Amino acid sequence: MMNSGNAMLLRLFKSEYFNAWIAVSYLFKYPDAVGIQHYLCNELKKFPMDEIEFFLPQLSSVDQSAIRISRAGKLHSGSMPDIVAYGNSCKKQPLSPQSICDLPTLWYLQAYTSDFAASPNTPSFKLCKRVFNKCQAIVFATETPEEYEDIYGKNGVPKVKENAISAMVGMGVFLAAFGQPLMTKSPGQIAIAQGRRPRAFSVTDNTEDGGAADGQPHQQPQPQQHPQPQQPQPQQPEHQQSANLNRASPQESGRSTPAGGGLARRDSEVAISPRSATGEPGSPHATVSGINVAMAHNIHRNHVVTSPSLEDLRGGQAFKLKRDRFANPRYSNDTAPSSPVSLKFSDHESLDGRSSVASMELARRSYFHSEMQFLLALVDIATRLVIVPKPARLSALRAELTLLNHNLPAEICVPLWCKATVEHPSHHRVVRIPPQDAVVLNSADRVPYLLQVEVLETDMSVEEIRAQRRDLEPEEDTLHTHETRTHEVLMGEDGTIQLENVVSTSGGNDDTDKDAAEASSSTSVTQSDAASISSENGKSSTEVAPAPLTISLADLAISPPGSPVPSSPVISIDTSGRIRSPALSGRPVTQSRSNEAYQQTVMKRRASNSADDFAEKMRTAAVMLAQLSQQQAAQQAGAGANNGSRSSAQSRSSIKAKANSVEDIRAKIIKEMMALEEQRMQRMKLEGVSSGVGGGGGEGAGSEMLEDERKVMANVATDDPSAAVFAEDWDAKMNRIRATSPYGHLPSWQLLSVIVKQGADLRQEQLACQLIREMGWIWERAEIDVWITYMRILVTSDNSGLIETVRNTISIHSIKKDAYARRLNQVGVVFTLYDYFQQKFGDPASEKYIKAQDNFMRSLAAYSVITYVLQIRDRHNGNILLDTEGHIIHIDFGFMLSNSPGSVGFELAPFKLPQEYIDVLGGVSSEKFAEFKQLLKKAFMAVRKHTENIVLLIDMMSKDSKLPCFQYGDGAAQAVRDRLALNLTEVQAEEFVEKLIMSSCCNVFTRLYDTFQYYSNGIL
Amino acid sequence: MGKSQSKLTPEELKTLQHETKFDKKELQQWYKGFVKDCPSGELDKTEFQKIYKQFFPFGDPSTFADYVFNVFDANKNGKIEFKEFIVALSVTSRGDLEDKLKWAFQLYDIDNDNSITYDEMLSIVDAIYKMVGTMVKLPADEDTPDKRVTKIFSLMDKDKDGKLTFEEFKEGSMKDPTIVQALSLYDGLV
Repeated sequence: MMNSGNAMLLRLFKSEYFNAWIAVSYLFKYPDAVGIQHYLCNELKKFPMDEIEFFLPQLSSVDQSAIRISRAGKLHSGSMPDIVAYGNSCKKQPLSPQSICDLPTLWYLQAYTSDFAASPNTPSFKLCKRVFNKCQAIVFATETPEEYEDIYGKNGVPKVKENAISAMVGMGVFLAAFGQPLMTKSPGQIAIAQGRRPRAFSVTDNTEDGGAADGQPHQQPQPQQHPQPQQPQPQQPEHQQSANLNRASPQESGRSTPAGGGLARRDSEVAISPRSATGEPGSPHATVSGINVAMAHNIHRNHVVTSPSLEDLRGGQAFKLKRDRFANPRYSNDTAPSSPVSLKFSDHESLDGRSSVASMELARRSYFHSEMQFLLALVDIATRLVIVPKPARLSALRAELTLLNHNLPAEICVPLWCKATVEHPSHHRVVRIPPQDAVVLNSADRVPYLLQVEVLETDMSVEEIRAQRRDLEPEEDTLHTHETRTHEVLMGEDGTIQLENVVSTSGGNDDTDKDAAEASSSTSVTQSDAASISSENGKSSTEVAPAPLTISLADLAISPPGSPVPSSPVISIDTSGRIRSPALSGRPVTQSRSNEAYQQTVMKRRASNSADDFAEKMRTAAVMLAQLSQQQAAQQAGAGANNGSRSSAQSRSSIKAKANSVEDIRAKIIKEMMALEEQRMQRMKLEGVSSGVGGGGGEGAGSEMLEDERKVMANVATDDPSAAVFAEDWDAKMNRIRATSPYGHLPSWQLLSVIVKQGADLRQEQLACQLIREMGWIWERAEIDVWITYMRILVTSDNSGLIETVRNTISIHSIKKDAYARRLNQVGVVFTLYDYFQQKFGDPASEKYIKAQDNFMRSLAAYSVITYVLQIRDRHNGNILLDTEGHIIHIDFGFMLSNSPGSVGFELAPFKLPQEYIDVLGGVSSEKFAEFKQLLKKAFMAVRKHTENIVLLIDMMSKDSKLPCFQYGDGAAQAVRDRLALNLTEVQAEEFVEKLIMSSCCNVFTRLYDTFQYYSNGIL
Repeated sequence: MGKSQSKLTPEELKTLQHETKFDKKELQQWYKGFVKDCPSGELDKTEFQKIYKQFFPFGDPSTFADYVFNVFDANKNGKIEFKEFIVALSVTSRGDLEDKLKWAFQLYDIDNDNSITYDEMLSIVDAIYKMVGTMVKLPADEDTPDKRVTKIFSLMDKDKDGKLTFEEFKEGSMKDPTIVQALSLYDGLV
């Protein structure tokens, strides 16, 4: 009974038509067939990185859902780790790692993990968690030598686990050895790879869909202990013990990577004390969500990357490749920017007898850590800005970025934007973020912001880059370097102190872990047990010594530039809400911020750069606000949910008083921030821009800048700051920034422009862009001359990410607004796009106008098809852009496929084609309009011919998806097919399109929607 | 052996420790794994073939799975039990070459008469080729089952009697590094 279907499959896979697309689609179609999965994963690895990168969202998704479908652990779940491992294998060069695939993958998985977190006992969640942990392990390479040996056996080959089924296949293959040894190689490998999957009952992993794990009561979130120490889970409890031994005498370890191993273990131990150790805030949102807390218990938390702490930023060390401090690569899977933990290690620990392989490993791991820290820092800023009062947001943002700049250049790149490939593994280096070109974008309750990132496409090391820095202010520069060095030394001391601290507080936990581990090794006690026990323990210690959230109002007091500023902010608000003065606080002031030598260093720099002073204060204020609101949220949650706890009675009684005092503090802080802002503006007027915003000694090129600043400020002060920023021609902006950048003279200098978003799930945006890109390819292949563009989107979690900006564009809303403001319209007459075209490109008969009109027509045809096929909704003029060449561009894909804004039910037109568009084209009877119709038809027919390309992408994403565009179940893909009218003949389909166009023409609903938007949201 | 017990009894453990090269803990772990994959505690031929189909999607593994099943099923009751499974695993992963070859010999010696005829060998090789399909590129002189079996016999059937004894089987295998390597599939991995 030859399975002819599958033989055909193989023929397809081996044919010249085989491509990454087919591979991915068949991965999706055959979730159960182990053999096919393995084959395709292997094949996938052969495709160029960028092709695979395109499918990353789907691959992550397939990996989740494919496995959910099949039961009993018979399937292969290796593709993601394989892919990551693939990226990994390109990282042999320590300083040019191949991060483009890995980090995004990790982020996707993180996003999915939180999706499934609501039902933590489902196989999906467990699988997700396992894959996620595995990716983490690959990216950060955290196995200790001991763990390594257990997993890989003595000769470095991973051992198989107790998978009976794959073992039976493997043994069959073994038997075939005599008959045809050549045929046993690849099936043998599959059997072994499959056999390596961890089993639920084993001590090491409970992530399989297993009875044992399911039986465990799920750890309930404890809302009151919000700044809760996250307990890193010992991956292999036995090794925890051996690692401990190893720590006692690192020299005795004969392994080639003693330092790496011992250190890694130590990392996770140190991570026990994250939030309580420093006074930095977690996200205000992080702690409210019980899910996140609960999740934390089930996930290995031994890599947690946090955004850098204030003193890291000050010292310029935050993203540096630090041999002595990649401690705690803690990856916060609760997606909220968590509190920075900066634990450092003294040199002897890490440098001790490290082989070159190990140091390469260290470098690589450190790279990923820095990279994630950088992106988290960006997202964190957006989070903090939410609490900052609107008028001060821009200053706060620029202050934050100024601080960030101290840490650049660094060996980090912006993934996705980075051009590195397997063949050319050279990543760009982020060298500077010009603070004065960042701008806060208005949004209802979030604060996305736009920033420019200067990068160098170079392999130069950070030191080399620094050396080539154009010395605009040489004196300052020297000083800066000097400081940095001092700071480094201090950090070392810092680390030692803190380390001891931590070990002493976490000792109890450690024991618990061991106990749990012992228990589980003999019975089927699983890891979540260990987690719950140890977190219990962690909780009690939190209660005994409440996390000191140390803030000082005094710190905010404005001191004249140059005067010493106390750098250790201390008011501790304990859990009962009383404000303690530092003297009364039982605990020592956190870390060694009060260290005298350090203060002197800071003072010295302060004296040299008053902008820093401002920046730090601003940031401190922002941080304090964030902390306050976090406290409040936690207290409320605690009051609501906490009944049995020892301290609850007390805390409830004081809650009201506390709320008042918190409000007071908040008001005070905000007042101080406003004052600061005022002061800054004042000084800027007197001394020029460099005193107002700056830092790193780079900015401040004189009066030209001041003008620019004022211009931007004036615009920003108005309702729509983006308009001013976007209106500036990209090249002009780039040249302007380049001229003032200390790195601008370097030939490989480039500028990227991104929007950082927090509080929004960008996966749907990303899917939309991917679909648009796919359609673009379809049209390109069919040689249909339409025009589209798409943004790169980097999803960093389920509620944050980076979006590329489309250069030289402005929204139609802004165009009209600007026109009305400048009274370009005749009195009482509506300003239309046609007016704008004439104003901008001249007479409709002119060459310039005709060119722009053609661009408009080609982009409009494409976007009409796109918005129709994908049912992209909410098409008001704020979401439609026009570039300087006349192309129309749609953005914001929050509503598509099956969801639409509100219950309004407007937007019934197939796509947007109002009178003003038609006017631009020259009216319905014009040649251009006929051409438009023709092009639209051709574009539609081409997409129709390749429906499956589109549908498959959607289908793969829609399985178990939580994206709003799939809220109506699996119907989304079928609806796309329906809209493409596949049942019609070619001729009928063309008539169909004709009808679509006619019903879109000046559609009454389109007009209605625009009117609705005008009255409800003021969009023109 | 009980059908759905969650652990091996001390007696069972003792017996298996004697018959395999696994220690107590390993035996218990493998037992858990086995019960998880085969909740009934045993595996019949149909289920066994199904497993092979998942692993060999491009070919037809049913015939080969059939032969392999018979080798596993030492007591010929039509089921693979844990004991049969673990004994086989012990041989494949921790046995010496002689043990491994003895066990493998059983596959090819279909009628169990201590020698492998040309036809027996052809049946097995044919089943292997069918199972793997066209995935592997083979040298011209063994790209069909017939050619492969002819080659085997020309190399290994020393006395040219058309049959392979165990001695010939063993000697021939040891001379062929690819076979030796294929037989070390699970060495150090279990």
